[in-house]
Amino acid sequence: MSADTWLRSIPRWALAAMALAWLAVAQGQPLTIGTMVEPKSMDPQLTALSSDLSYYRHVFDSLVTPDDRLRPRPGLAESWTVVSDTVYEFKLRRGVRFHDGSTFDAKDVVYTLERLPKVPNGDGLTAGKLKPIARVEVIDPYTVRLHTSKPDSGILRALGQLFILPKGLGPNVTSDDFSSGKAAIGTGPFRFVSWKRSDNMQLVRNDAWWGGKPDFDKVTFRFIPNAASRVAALQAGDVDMIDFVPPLDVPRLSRDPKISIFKASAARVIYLELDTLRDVAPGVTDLTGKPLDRNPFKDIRVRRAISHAIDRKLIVSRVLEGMGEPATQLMPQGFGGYNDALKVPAFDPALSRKLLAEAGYPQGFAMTLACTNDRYVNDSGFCQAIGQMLARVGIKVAVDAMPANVYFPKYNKASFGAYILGWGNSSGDASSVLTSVVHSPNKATGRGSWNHNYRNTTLDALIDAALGTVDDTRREALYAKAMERVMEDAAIIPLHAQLVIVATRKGLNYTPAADEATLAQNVRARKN
Amino acid sequence: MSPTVCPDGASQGATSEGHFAAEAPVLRVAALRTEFATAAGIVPVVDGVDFALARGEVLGIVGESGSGKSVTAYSILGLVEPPGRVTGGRVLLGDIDLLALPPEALAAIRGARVSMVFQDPMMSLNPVLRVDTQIIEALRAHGSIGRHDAHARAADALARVGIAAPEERLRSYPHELSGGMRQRVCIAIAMLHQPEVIIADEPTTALDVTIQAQILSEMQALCASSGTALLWITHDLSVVASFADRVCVMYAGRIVESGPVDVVIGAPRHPYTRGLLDSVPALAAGGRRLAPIPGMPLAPADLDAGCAFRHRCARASERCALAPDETFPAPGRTLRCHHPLDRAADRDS
Amino acid sequence: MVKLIAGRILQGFGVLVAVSLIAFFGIYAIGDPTSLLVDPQATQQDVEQVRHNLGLDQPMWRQYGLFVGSLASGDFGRSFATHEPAMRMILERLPATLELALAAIVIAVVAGVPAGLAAGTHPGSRLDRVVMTASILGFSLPTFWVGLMLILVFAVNLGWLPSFGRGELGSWLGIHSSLFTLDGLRHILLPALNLALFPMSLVARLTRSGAREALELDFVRFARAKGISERRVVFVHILKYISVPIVTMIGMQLGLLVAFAIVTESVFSWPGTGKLLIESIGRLDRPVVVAYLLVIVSIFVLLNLLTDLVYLTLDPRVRFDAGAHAE
Repeated sequence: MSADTWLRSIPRWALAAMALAWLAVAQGQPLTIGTMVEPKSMDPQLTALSSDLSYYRHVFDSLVTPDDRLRPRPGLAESWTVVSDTVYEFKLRRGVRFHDGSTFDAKDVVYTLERLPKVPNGDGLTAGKLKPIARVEVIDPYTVRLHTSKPDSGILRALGQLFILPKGLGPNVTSDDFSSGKAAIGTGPFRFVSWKRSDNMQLVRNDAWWGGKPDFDKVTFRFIPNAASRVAALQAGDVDMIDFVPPLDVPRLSRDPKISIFKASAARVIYLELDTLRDVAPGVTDLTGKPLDRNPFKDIRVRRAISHAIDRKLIVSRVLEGMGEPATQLMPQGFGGYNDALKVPAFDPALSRKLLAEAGYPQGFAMTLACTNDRYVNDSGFCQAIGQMLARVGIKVAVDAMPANVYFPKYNKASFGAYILGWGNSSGDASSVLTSVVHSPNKATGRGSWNHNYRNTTLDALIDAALGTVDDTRREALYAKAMERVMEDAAIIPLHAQLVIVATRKGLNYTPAADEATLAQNVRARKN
Repeated sequence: MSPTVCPDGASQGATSEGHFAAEAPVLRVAALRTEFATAAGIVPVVDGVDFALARGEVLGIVGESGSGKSVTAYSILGLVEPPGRVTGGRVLLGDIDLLALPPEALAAIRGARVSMVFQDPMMSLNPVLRVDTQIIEALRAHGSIGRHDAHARAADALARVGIAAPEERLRSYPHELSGGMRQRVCIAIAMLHQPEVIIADEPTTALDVTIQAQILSEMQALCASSGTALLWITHDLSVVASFADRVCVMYAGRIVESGPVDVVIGAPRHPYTRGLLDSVPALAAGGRRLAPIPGMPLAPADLDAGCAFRHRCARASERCALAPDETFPAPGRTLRCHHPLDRAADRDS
Repeated sequence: MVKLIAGRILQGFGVLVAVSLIAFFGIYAIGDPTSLLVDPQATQQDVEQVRHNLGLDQPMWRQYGLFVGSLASGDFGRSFATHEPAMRMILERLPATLELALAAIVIAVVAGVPAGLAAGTHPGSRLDRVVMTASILGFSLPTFWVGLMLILVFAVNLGWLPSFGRGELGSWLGIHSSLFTLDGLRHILLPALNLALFPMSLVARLTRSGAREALELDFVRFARAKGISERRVVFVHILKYISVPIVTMIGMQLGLLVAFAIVTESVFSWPGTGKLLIESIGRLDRPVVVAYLLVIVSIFVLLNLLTDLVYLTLDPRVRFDAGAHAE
């Protein structure tokens, strides 16, 4: 049968219907997302805060893209090989075009790396992480080699934050040019359309994206920092999806037939740290308020007592409404270097009291726990809970909760003797927390920048070794060992990991990313 | 001046000689009673007042402050505010009882058939509105009128009360005018619709002495030429003497004596009237010493069932503990007294 | 008149200087913003670099001096967080806040003045009591809660109005505002209502007491004696007479609304300066906070001046005095 006869046998209306259906699907639909945080700029080299990265990922791509568990996956680099301890070779993807039509090749990688350290007013974070790159070698238009000055295992993950820009932008492009949209040209799944500050950002689908076509042709971000308003907006149907859903609202929203909830464990782990460095820890006294003759936190039995007094399961179920996971170590499960052998410290108040008595504090003592009240999910809530739990074993706790803008400056001045912190683990492995929190401060290498209260030189050596190990398996084994030692020391006590909670209207599907990035390209319209 | 009867509630108008044909009184007040609720209880500030006003007549109501004369005037036009309330009597304008009218009907009468001029023109005129606004709104309240015509009529009204350069005055604010001019504006407003009655509540008291006489005579002339009856309320007996036709003397909410003005002033029968005359320089007999009335008027709360004047009266007796009824010693005269002065009593005795 | 305006401008200037000092040193007292602007994983050198870039490593007096110096060329500094020019950030968002404040004031006056007049001219009546009670609720109920309730009822449950944000802009006579589109009006209704509650109650009470007092005055009696309708007595005579204190309050409230629409803007995600202020305080973003305060103070000074000028048209007696004293 000829094509002609075949075609004529299909009723014309069926053809029309199919064409319309195809058009409809091809058209896609609009998606409106209510987000908590607005980006500071659209210059992907200006800032590297995780909330900003979330937006960059829509318009730009990096050589290496983190997946939802922050593992490095091929992005604009199809594959890579470790040529030697100090050389990585990347094979670049072919046939990729920027939003302005220009072709992507090695020259763009060079341009991007050259601009990075020169961005005026940049926070220098990405530049800092990529500083070990001594030079870029272009082998051919689709092959580059990165040479590092010494072996650095973090390069691959750090490249996840290097967003490739078109060389056509030139050396004088400013951050304002990006934010106005003029220079916001990348290879990403969406094109930048407009950004009205404090109000909304509009993107349209890049139909030619190498990563596949996103389900939605138009994406609008509406910035709604107030949590209650954000939830109301979803319930009113004014937005299709919201991020950072407050745990307290989850039970109610789960019962709403028009709403779906998606959860995943976040990269952020909350821990409690005790000052083991100084002879007098700020805020620590005896029960009558008089100074003690020594710092109780220096005794490992006291530290263990504190850890065992905390009922992590109860905090997660009551204070976080089940929206969290008790932590075994300073990063969540599944991240590079996770030590499967470690367990959540047991809740054992009787053991705590025994240890305290052995350490010479049968009556306990008094301490001040410093805490933020506006930064982590229900932070002042779980601090109060910890305070009460410690009181049961005889330690009187005064919880000093303050806003983040007061807390962090004080933290940096080492004003606290006991405090909580939430570490974002944006590298997707143990490197960042071990480097900045556990390692002793070292101005030259920049390590230990958040460490004011803990010194362990053998651990330093272990961590240095790990950071210099380029082989993944060996490195992660070293991380696991280091983490085991840190947990044994009980000076940095893990509490719980937050959950990333996202809510959408029924009919959408979403897998939240561990770094809390809200990615429109991962929103799928359910087909049924 | 044509003597007209000051009737009681029952009788009708009476014949009269003179310019005006026999007709019913234009305004008749019968048994008017207005009470005020005070901390000390309910006080009858106007306690059974009767009088009538004939067309074109000038009737003076004289009394001290607190005698209830102003409240009488307000009661006629329904301008008494809480805590005061008109509780009894009738106010007949023709055959309409003003006290029984609904608010819109009363508003139609105010300013058109019965107008009022107040004592202090600074406070009568709204200080934040222009003179022309305040005149034109009075025009508009009683009929639609185009802007141009309204303006012309306003200027005309001002000219008629003797204000020079009326156009400029129209654009002024009240505080830019002198006291006398302000009062003329108020008079002009009162006369806009050729009312049958103008109630003037001490309109000259707040003005300079020189202006007082001017305003007085101008008002008199205006009313005479347009046939408007004038109810002149004052504490100043000399003013009444000079230009009213008839006078009612009020004390403590009651009219104690009334009649044609030369008769009442020439031969007063009530001791209070006598006392008033003796205390006014212009009216006291020449050469005689001024004799103020002893004592003070009773506070309204202390009024009782007796004659309110008895505590200050030389002629009082036990009979006076019961309030005297109104008597009619002669046509057109009323009197409330148990011991009136002798009819033939002479001012000098 | 000229003297009046010149005097006011001079005073305003003094206030601006005082405010800039307070803001500058006040934020400094809270802490160092650098730690809030960098990722936790930054090295110490990076932090120092950032601090140096922002000029925060200089002594405070020097920083203030540099700030004042650059003011002369119209440069209010760049936000520590976004690096945009601070003044531009504020001016971009100011129209949204002005719109909201204006809408709120209009609602407050349109609802508050007649309510106050009705209550004041019927003292002791049920209407009077209702207005008094409602006004107490109006300025006691927390704006935050009322806003959320409005959203809950009208957006979530009834679905009549949008739950957040600003609507589409229309333009008229070269001005762009969301007040000129239907979509814009739908979006502004709830937040404007929320913001209007407080000033509405104040205006109602002030109008009520003014009307009550004015009722006793002779010109009201005289006006009635002329036979004009009670409506005109209330809405022309009494209203114009008491308008001076009401206009004063409206002027003041308008300034306050512009400055403190913060809560409403947060609850309704209204893209105005209030929202920006809260975020900037949270980040210790000093240039933005200082620029914001300078703008607000200028607006207050201007509004005060305008209010005074409006008096002159409303109350001719003041005109007389102002003219007499000008020499």
